Parts: sequence; structure tokens; C-alpha cells
Amino acid sequence: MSKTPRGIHNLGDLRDYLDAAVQLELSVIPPYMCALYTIHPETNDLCQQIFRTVIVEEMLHLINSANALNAVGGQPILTGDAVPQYPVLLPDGEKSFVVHLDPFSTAAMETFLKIEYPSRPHGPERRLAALREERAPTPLKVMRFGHDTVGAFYEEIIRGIRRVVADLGEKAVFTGDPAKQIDATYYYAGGGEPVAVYCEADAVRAIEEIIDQGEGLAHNLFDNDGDLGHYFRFDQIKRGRCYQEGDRPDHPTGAPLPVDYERVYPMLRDPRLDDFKGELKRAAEKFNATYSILLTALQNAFAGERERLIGAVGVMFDMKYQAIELLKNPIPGTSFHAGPTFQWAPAREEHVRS
Amino acid sequence: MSEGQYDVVIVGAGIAGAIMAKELTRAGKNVLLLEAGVSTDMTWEGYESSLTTFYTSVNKEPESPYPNNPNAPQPDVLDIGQPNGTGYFIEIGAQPYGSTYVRRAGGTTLHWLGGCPRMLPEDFKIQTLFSVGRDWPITYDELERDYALAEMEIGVAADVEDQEYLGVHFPPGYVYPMYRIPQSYSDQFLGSRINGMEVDVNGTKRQLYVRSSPSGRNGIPNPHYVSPRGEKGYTPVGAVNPAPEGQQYAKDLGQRCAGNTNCIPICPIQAKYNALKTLQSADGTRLEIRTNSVASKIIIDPDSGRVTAIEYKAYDDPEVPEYEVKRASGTFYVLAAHAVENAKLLLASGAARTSGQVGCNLMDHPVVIRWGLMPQDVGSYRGPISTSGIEDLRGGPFRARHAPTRGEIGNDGWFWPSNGPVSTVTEGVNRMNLFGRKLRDYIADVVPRQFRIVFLVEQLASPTNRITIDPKWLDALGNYRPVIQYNIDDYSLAAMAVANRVCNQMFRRAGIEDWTDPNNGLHTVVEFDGEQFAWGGAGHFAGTHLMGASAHDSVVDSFQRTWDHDNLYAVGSGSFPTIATSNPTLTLAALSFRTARELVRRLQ
Repeated sequence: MSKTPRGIHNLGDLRDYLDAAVQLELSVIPPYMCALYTIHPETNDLCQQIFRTVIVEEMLHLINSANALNAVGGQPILTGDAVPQYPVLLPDGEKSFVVHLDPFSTAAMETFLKIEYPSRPHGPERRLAALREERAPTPLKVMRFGHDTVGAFYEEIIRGIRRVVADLGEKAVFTGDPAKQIDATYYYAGGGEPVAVYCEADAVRAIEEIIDQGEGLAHNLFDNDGDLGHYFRFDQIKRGRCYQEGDRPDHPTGAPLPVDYERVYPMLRDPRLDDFKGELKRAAEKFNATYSILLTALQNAFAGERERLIGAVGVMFDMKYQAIELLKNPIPGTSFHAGPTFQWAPAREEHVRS
Repeated sequence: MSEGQYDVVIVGAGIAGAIMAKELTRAGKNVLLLEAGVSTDMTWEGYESSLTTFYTSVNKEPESPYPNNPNAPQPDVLDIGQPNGTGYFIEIGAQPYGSTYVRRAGGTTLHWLGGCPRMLPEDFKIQTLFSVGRDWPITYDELERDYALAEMEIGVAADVEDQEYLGVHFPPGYVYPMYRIPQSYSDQFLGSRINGMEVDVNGTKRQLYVRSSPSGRNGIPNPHYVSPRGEKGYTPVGAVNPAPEGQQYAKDLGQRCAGNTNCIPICPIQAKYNALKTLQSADGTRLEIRTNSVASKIIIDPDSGRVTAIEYKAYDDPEVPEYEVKRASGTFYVLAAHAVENAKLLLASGAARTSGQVGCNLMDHPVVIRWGLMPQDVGSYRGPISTSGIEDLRGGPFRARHAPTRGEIGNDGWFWPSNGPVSTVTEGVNRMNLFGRKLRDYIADVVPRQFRIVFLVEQLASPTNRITIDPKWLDALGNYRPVIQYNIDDYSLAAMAVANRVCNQMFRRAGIEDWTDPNNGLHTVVEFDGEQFAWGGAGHFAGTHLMGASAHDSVVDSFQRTWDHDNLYAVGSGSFPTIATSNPTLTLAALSFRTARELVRRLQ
């Protein structure tokens, strides 16, 4: 189905792949946030907890990828055209499924399982009745590489790092400014600390950490830290039961995990600004402005202004409250609720926090 | 484990009990921990439910997330000054005792501020130096390493350079586990106006500085940190969750302080330390925790004076006063139930009677409260509740005449003194007849300028400030309720008058418009030395089983062992012979390390 993976043959390829890795991590966070924030408050407690922990680990992966890209002389871009517009195809080259912004639902869980463990056979998708025609997936900025799984994509990056270093020598590859590396001073929580990348060994460790936490290989239930991989965390929600030590994949035998898909705001799939009018539109614009402030802060942090990550925390709180405000409100004349559209919107003065 | 096999039975799962349990179990000792209250906050879901309870309660006071449990009742700020029978405390003194605490696993660290200043070296010997109060049987230097252990356990964020004042010293090269939490914009503004301002306190000249406060809140780890045990680096402790390995997602969810301005009563992101973080890192294979188990009596062998068991009442439902009386036995017994509860339990058991001091010498930090409007927007109601203090009046020769005092600068606007910003709306509507645009403009102008400062004043140990018990006053399970006799003497009142004058000077210098209204009904009003001011409690209980050098005038020795019972310890701020001016938690945590080490030694 997929074309032969392009592979990493030189430093330019390595930068392209790491650029795609940054965008891959950025692409999966909004769908997980939509699932989390559409859950009614004080319901589905364990599900909320699972989403929260996965999201903070994806943020960690984003930082590890950006650190690796910075280290090899690249420049992480998270603004403008780099902002994913949903639905998207993941930039590693998987074409067999499309990633949507969906409310917490069985359909969303099926997609999330594909993101986290894409080599599984795909089940039939149950979809919400569409308000309007399904949007076509938007291609992302970066080229797609033809890998079948996220794991294969990251494994190629590790092989590529070794290959390019063998060709050019470590010094010629790791030319990035060390002052751009994000370490635990600027970010922690989320299942660990970022890996600051100064050399080949660091770069491999940064990528392995991503694979280890369940983004890619998923051959073990528990990662090296004893944490359950993302795929299996999500699989618990699908199966309504927790995994415990000694369980086989697909056969959790731990405590029941209560899931109630009814206690969810029925957000419109892949909402966009043009789906809203009046107050809803203004609220959606406000959210996008805040999201864009966050992305700008992240990009600037990766460009050397590391202390911006600390201030970004407050912006994330704003995003949460603004997203929930949208999700609580029905779109007049429909059975759907509004939702955050995660579109790029350069900050307008009145939306910037005073 | 069957009864009698425990090395140590601990009463109370607050910070003192949790540290004891962790240190003892990690040293290979078997521990039973009895907790009077519920275990709600020991899981992520439970903690979140307390958060929901807080969000949905009308009054946002310290006890809002932690509703009263009639089987293990607790004081509530709304009951202060109300007729006896309304609340938990029975007040028979001249003044109401203005502080509260929490009775459930985690204890009062669930709603503490997180303030972690050390005591000054001079605080340990005020009788010797100033001929007032009592000396401690230990010195600052003897407790120094235990302070560092406590700072490690709590995870204190501070920079040593800010904390070296009035004789406080650290070992060469010492750094705190995390860098200081940034000072708020309001602190920085105040500092820009008053730093270096000179005050004259009865002949002692001091310059005042707005100084960063050490706090038990997650910040940026200091890569140069080395613990007193030689471990390098510090990893911040996330949210509590005792789930099995692999499902402990909550540990990834406790975040660094994000300035929610909600330290009291509940940190919404568990960035602030609470004792359950310590408890979950005890060796679980050697620790048995029994919650809903109220210790009611210490059983003492009359011949040897040794404790043979703790009698406790185990209940299922907090709302149903049905219980079973049980006994727990071990080699050693530790009362870590809070200053008031420890005293009650000793009194109810007729224990530790030689000195006649059990329950006596109750102290608090009476606080002078001042509030006003800053000359410009300072971003009130943002940041942790407090990030800075004024430490320059905490010590000095004036202590021969009046108490020392410590300023705590708030980021919580007028919440403490006048229930702002809610009261700002009622003020605008009811008193100023504003509505619509004018009301919004008024709120937008006033709220970001609201400023408050409190000065915490030392109170000396006095035998007439005391907890007693009376069979007339019992709770739902038939346990005693504390009968409190409390007053504030001239030594403290004089310092409150000094603090009030210093505030006048500071407000003038900084251009703060004074809005202090002592008569707003929320506080006790006094006049002293020509000054009229409002004061309240600080939640800093101390002194009900104080430590000393002799069995004749103190209840416990320097290891917090009761003089009368060789295998009974009473730990916590109840052991303080002086409360001085620091928030007591760090010092009581340090003492807990000292006692745990002594118990491990005695158990070898």
C-alpha cells in the first residue's frame, strides 16, 4: 500500500525526518485534547486521567524531537503553515487512516489506537452523523515518508542518526546551538524529563524515549519505567478493563474501567471557524488566538528563548477554559456542540493576555 | 501482621506521622498508622473529589474541600467566635482561638500555605538571650541537618542567598532542592518602593526588604542539589496515587506551581507538598494504615509506666456514630495527631502528668491584618498566595520588651481580610449603587490593585493558655472535645502595635491607600499603645506538650519522648517551647526526622 520509505541518507534527510517528527507530535495533541475536554466534568475519571498523562507525554515527545532537530542544526517550526488543520494524515506516511478532531467516542478511540499502534488491523469506524460533508484531509507541510507505523518512522530516525554520524563524524552533525536545548529546568512532568541533545548518544536516547513510552513499537505492555504504553492505556478504555502485570496484549484482567460515552459534549467533527457565527465564532477565534500564542511561545522557546516555556503554562490554562466554554455550547439549529478548531490565528491585540 | 508485632504504632497521618512512617519503614521497622479521619485524598480520584467539593461550596474557606466528619470533628473558621456548641472548640478564655486544622489522612498540609522558613538560631534560646519565654533543649546547629532533611522531604523551593539573615546559616555549598518560586509582580512593585526603608523598633534600627519566601511548592529543580544523605539532584514529587505500578499515572500529573492562588485550601494541580506524598513513599510492605480509627485512650501499665496499647474507636461511616473499640500494640508509640489532639489524648489517658504542663502553653501566631489599594495595577489574585515576606523584624534586642514579628505579603488581594473579590462586587452594588459599565469599570480598577499584608507575632508559652477536657463536652463517638482557654498578653500586643506602625510607614512610602477596616466583623479588634488594629489566627498551633530539659517543667525531652513514659513519644508543633515567628511545619518536620532516627536507634 505504502510506497517504499524514503529513508535517511544525508543530514538534509535527517533534518526533514526530525521536522516531520515535531509535526507528528504536534498533530496528535489536539485530538487527544478534544477527547479529554469533551468529557463532562467529574465523569469518566480514569479516562480523563489516561488522556492527561498521554497528552503530557506527547508534549515531552514534542520537546525531545525539537531538541534533536535543533541539535542537528535544524529549526523547529510550529506556526503558520506548520499548524495541522484537521482532518490530517500523519506525516510519517501512514495513509490508511485519517486523524480527526472528535469528541470522546468509540470512533475516536479506534483512531487513537491506530495512532499509537498502527500495525493493528483496522476495525470498522462508527461515525457521528455528519453535519456537513466530510472534509478532505489536509496535507501537512512536510513530505510524507511512506512508513507504515510511527514506530518504523522513529526507528528509521535512529538508524539515520547513526548512518549520518558514521558518514560525517559527530562534530559535523551536531552543530546546533546548545543554548537551545530544553532540559528539566524548563519542563518536567509527563512521565519524565526532556532529553537535552548534544551528541549522537543523546539524540538516540531522545528518540528511544519516544518509542519507549509507547508511541511506536508497543511490543511490551509496560515501558522501561514500569509505565503502561500509550496503546495499552487506550486499549483499557476500549475494553473497559485495566491491564495488570503479567497480562497479554488484548487481554486485560485487572480492575474494571468504567467508561460512559454518553456523558460527553457532542462536539462537531473537525470544527472550523466557518461553522460558527456570532458569539460562538468570537469564542472560537479567542481560542485560536490563545493556541497561536502558545505555539509562538513554543517556537520561540525552541529558538533560544527557553524561559518562554515557563510562561506558556498559564496560556495552556487559558486554552483549557476557552475550549470548555465552546464545548458547553450547542451550535444553534443542530444537535452538535461547538468546539476548539485549533486553527492558526496570528494574535490580535484584544486577545492577548494583559 | 497480627496485633503486637508492630515496632511502632503512630497516631495521626499528617506530616509528622507520615515522615515517621516513611523513615521507620525504610529502616526496616514495622509500623501501624492510625488515622482518625477518612482516607479520601490518598488517591488521585479522591483528591479530585475534594477539589470538586471546594468548587461547589459557597464559602471558600480553609475547610471547604474537607467537610466536617462528626466522628472525628475539626474546627472550622466559620465557627470562630460563635457560641459554644456551634463548632468543635469550646472556648472559655478572654479571646477566641482563631485557628483551625484538618482531621483526615494528610492532615493540615492539605490546606497549608507551604511556607518553609527556618527558625532563627536565637529563637532556640530566648530565655538566655532576652530573659523571656523558654529555651529549647537543642540548638539551631543541632537541628540544622534535620532542617535540610525536612527541606528535601517537602521539596522546598528557595535560594540560599535570600535566606541567610539574622544568623540563619547553612553548610558551605548548600542549595535548596529547587530554585525559588518567582516573586510576584506585586512583590516586585512593593520592593521597588520600600526596599531599604529604615524603621526604628524601640532603639533597634532595621532596614526592611521584600524577601522571597521558601515554599513547599514544586519549582525548577536545582541541578546542584545534594541531599544531606549524599544523593545528588532532586526530582519533584508529583500527584499522590497509590495505584499499582504501571497505573500510577497521577505521579506524572503533579505539576510545578502555576500560580493558581489557591494554596489554601487546595492546590488544584498538586504542585504544593502535602503529607500524602511522603506517606506513599514509605515502604508499603512494612506499613499498615488504618483510617477511620480515632485513638481514644493510651493504655499504661501502672507499675512500669510503659504504654501497652492504644485504644481506638473504629467506625465505617463518618455520619453514623457506630464504632467498635479496638486496641493496637507495639514496642513504641508515637502521638502525631496534632498539638490539640495529642494534648486531648494525653489528658484523657491521665498520661505524662508529672510536670502538670500537658495541654498548657497553647500558642499561635496572632496576625495583624492590613489592607489597601496599590497606586497601580499590580496583578492581584495571581501567583501563589504568598511569595515574599518581610523578615527583618524577626529577631533583635527588642525581644526583651516585646515579641518579634514576620511580615507575610499576600498575592490574594483582599480575600483574607474582607472576602475579596466577591466583597468588591457587593461593595460596588450595595454601597456605591453602581451597575452596568460603571460597575465593571470600578471592579476592573479596584481588584487588580488590592493588596494585603499580615504580620505574624510571636506568642510566649503561658500555662494559662491551655487545652483542657470536660466530660460535659463530647463528640459523636464520646471522645472529648477540646476546651480552650486563650488570651494574648502585652508582650504580643506590643509587637502588634509595632507592626501596625510599621505598616503605616510602609503604606505611606509605597503609596498604598489604606482601606484597613478593623471593624468589618471578620477579626478581633484591640487597642494597645495608642494603636487600634484587627487580628486573627494563623493556623499555627504550638506548645501543648512542650519540650524542655527537665521532667518537672516540660512534657517531652529533646527527642519528643514523654518524660513519664519511656516508650511514648508526642511529636509535632505541640513540642515547641517557643513558636518564634516561622511557620511551624518545617521545624516540626525536622523534629520528626530527629525522633525517627532516635527510634530506629532504640529499635536496633
